[in-house]
Amino acid sequence: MTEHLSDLAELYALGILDEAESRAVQSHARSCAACALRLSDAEQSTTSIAVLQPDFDPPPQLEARLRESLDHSASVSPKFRSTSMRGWPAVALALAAAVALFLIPFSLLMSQNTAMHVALSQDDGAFAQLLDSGFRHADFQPLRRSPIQAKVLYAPHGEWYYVIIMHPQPSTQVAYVHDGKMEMLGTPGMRGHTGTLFMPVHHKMNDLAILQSGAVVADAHLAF
Amino acid sequence: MQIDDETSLARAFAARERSAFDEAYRRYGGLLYSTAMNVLHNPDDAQDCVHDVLVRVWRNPNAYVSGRGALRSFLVVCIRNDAVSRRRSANRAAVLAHRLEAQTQIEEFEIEDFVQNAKLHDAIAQLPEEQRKPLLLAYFQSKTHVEIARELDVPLGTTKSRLALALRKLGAALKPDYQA
Repeated sequence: MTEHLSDLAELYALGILDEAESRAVQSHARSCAACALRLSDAEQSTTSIAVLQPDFDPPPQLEARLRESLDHSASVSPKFRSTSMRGWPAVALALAAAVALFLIPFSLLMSQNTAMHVALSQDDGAFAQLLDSGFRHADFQPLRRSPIQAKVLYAPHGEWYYVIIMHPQPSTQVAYVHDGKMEMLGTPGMRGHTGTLFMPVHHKMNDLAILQSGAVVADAHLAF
Repeated sequence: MQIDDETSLARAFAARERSAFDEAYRRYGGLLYSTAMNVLHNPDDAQDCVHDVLVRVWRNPNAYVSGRGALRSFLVVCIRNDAVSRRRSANRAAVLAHRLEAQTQIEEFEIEDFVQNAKLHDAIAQLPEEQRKPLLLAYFQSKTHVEIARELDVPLGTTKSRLALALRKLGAALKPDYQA
């Protein structure tokens, strides 16, 4: 984001931007003093509403949880601390690891497993797309305390989507959410502990969901 | 370490001094938890929200930097945005689970449906209706700008402009209370 924030400052402070837009606003404000000031003003306006809403006492265990989490992070060596990997290098590393871990060993069994052959063909198409073009990615957000971990890589104009799910169940499905309805897109192909689904659908899908046994367990909002 | 004023606290927080985190929670913890509760209406979800956001902000050295503005407001908006995101996910899940059509027709509503505080009520009532309705839908119902534009049958760009203007006006009207 190179231009000034303008109304985006207030829209961010109202909480109506999506995750990618919010990150862009925060990032821009760190490098632009004028926009940092406008954003701070907008945040104060939101706070002026918040302070006039009903008060609730935080539970005592919240402070204990915070102390425990902060103490834990402080005791972990930075060398081994998990970090959020973003952008092409991280994804490239992840894909390289996926190739090394899954594709090479499984290629030996491909002729004996038709389903795996189909899945690998899909991955082949996905990797070709990844190499040929830029792409975006979004994390699936677990609903409630669902432990599911998943990510979607997708073309900037919605030509294709590649969903990666850790530890999918046999009943796991991916769906497109629009207009309050759900359109089933497919079942991920298994790669040991990982499931993948490549979808060359050629249209923009803003909301995807992961279902297990018919119930939604995670969703992702995609920005175009 | 004694941190007397907001500016010193913000500076120490940006420098990631652990005592600043403890002091920030002591001062703002109630407001942050209330902010989450007023969106999520569930103590467990509100607690998770405040915990996750504060830990995330603390672990990311770029999240709050010196010169970014008031620490309290920064944290309030971080908490509220995360709570809104959680609420939208829960709402979406509920809609999906029951295979219900999304509500597309807006019902008539009044400020009283959302606001109990008299000062806040009066300040919102001063806004023109074209700004008041989208603000109520955005702030109190956690609607997205796209949903608001569709429900009010107003172009998206116009909706964004009206929301921004409404928040600026409301902030100016409530400023004396905020600073008190």
